[in-house]
Amino acid sequence: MWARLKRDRVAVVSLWVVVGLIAIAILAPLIVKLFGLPAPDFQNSNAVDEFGQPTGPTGANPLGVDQLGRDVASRVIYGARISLSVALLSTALSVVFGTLVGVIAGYFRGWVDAIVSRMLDVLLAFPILMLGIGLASACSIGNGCLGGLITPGVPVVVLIIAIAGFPYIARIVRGQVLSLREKEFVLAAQSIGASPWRIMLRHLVPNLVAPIIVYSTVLVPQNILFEAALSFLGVGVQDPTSSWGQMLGDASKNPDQWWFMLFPGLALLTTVLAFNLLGDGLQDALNPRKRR
Amino acid sequence: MSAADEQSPARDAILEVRDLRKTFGSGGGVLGGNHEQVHAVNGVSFDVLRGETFGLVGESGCGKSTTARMICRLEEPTSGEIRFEGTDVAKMGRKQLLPFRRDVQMVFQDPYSSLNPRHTVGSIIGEPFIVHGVAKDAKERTKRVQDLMDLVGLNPEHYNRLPHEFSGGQRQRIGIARALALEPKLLIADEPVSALDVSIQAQILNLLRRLQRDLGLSLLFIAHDLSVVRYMCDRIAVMFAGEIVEMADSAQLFAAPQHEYTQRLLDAVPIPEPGARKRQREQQAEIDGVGVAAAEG
Ligand SMILES: Nc1ncnc2c1ncn2[C@@H]1O[C@H](COP(=O)(O)OP(=O)(O)O)[C@@H](O)[C@H]1O
Ligand SMILES: [Mg+2]
Repeated sequence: MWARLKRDRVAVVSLWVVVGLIAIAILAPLIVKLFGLPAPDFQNSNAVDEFGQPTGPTGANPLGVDQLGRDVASRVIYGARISLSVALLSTALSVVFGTLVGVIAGYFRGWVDAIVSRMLDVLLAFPILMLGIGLASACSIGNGCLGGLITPGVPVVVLIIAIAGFPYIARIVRGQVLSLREKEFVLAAQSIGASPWRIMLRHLVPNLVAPIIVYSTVLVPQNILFEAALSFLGVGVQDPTSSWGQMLGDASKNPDQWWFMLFPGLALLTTVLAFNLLGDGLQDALNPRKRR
Repeated sequence: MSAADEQSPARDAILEVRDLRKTFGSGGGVLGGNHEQVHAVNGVSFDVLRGETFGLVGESGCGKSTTARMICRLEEPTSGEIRFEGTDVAKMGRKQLLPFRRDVQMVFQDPYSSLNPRHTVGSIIGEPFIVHGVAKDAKERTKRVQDLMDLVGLNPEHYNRLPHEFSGGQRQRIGIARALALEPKLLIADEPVSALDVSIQAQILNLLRRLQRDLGLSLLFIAHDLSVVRYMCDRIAVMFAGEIVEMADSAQLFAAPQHEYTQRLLDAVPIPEPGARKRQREQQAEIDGVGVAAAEG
């Protein structure tokens, strides 16, 4: 799989971009300091002009400032942290839960599978963005929902995105397990007396690693966009934490300040594109017959 | 011609199968659907005696594997009875099932699908020890696995290799070693050589025969080809469309086949004597004329 991936130039470049983005996210404070940028939540009232309008790129703020006088460059760099950590965390949750559900449905078949599959259908038909908006906005009033258990912010965003993504993984895994379990090594394991758990974890899951990796890389860019959408609508990541979607949302209220929209937009575009192309490459590498 | 009538009670049967049936497609899914029913096994009765090799022969799709799976309790019978050492297999609870799994083991047809591609040979052959909590110490387990590899003619140093590094014949040896790990009393070999090159088949058959003698195994040997069975078995049952149509001692069956289907199977066996070919061709033409589909592997 890796040997084939290495021959795919686009995928290799995407992989490096992804690695670079992760490095930027991890090293955000260091990078901001290195370029002598202001902290992402520092409100410089001097950077906003007399009409309360943010100023464009200057020496001190190379990518301009937002409506509160915060440095756009610094916020874009820190935004990578949120974007990637939310996307990766929610993907990881989707994968773990989706694999568990998919393996159980595919292994036991019968009524277990019937119930699980219908529930997945319902979830897939559910307007999860609407749920996110509703949940997040309902919980942003006062102390949040369920006695303060759910308040808007990163954890809720991660959870909502994970719920939205796991049915895809579960369906794919279920399909793979349905064909895997017909292999005689599953019968062999049963005939030596291995428990269903042992068969699922020791025999089936190791054979699912490659497809799971591929579909996770497909899920990551979707989840980045999902987070951006929620934050754009003001129900995702909350101020003062910065996120690209939230910056775009703020910028849409200040349409004259191009820098304010352009840079987070570019960051989002690059990231999503890199993950998508990497996912395509991985899929091709796994499935050589499906060449473009 | 019920099988039960032929058995005298004095003979020591390790396995008794009575009127075993399996119908597929009767349950139906949650969303209904009018499935057509397949009577895969349709009232099969036979005994396997202690220490003997019993052959079950019939063309592909006649229900041999389904029978084997029901005996191993991998598939639930629609009706009928299976007794292993006098105990009803269907009624075994959890406590009895684990010892039963030790005593009855299976070698599968396809050595390419019966070994988990992600597991090393060592962990494949050693898994029965882990599941049954014998040879708990890793070192002891390795030793026992390597002894088994030696027993079936594999190089014990290849312990850490993955299945894809082996040929079909070697893979089948791995499958045999796994089945022998728990020292079973009854071994079921479901067409163990039909997926192998003809040149290798004899080696695996020799191995099975040697193991059966040396370990005193009772062997239920399944094949679609009478030539393979003749070489292996004491007694043979011929199966056709889910039913046993003839059952006899090996020599008797080859000397004087009673059922038309058995004769047809015999005709498919290469015959060395001159003139036999011609006779065979004539018979084949007759069968084709009747319009019966030829048996296939
Ligand atoms: N799980 C199943 N569902 C439905 N039909 C099956 C299933 N397994 C086997 N069959 C059918 O039962 C018949 C006997 O199959 P099998 O026991 O595998 O035959 P053999 O091993 O003699 O080739 C075949 O017609 C097959 O299509
Ligand atoms: Mg079969």
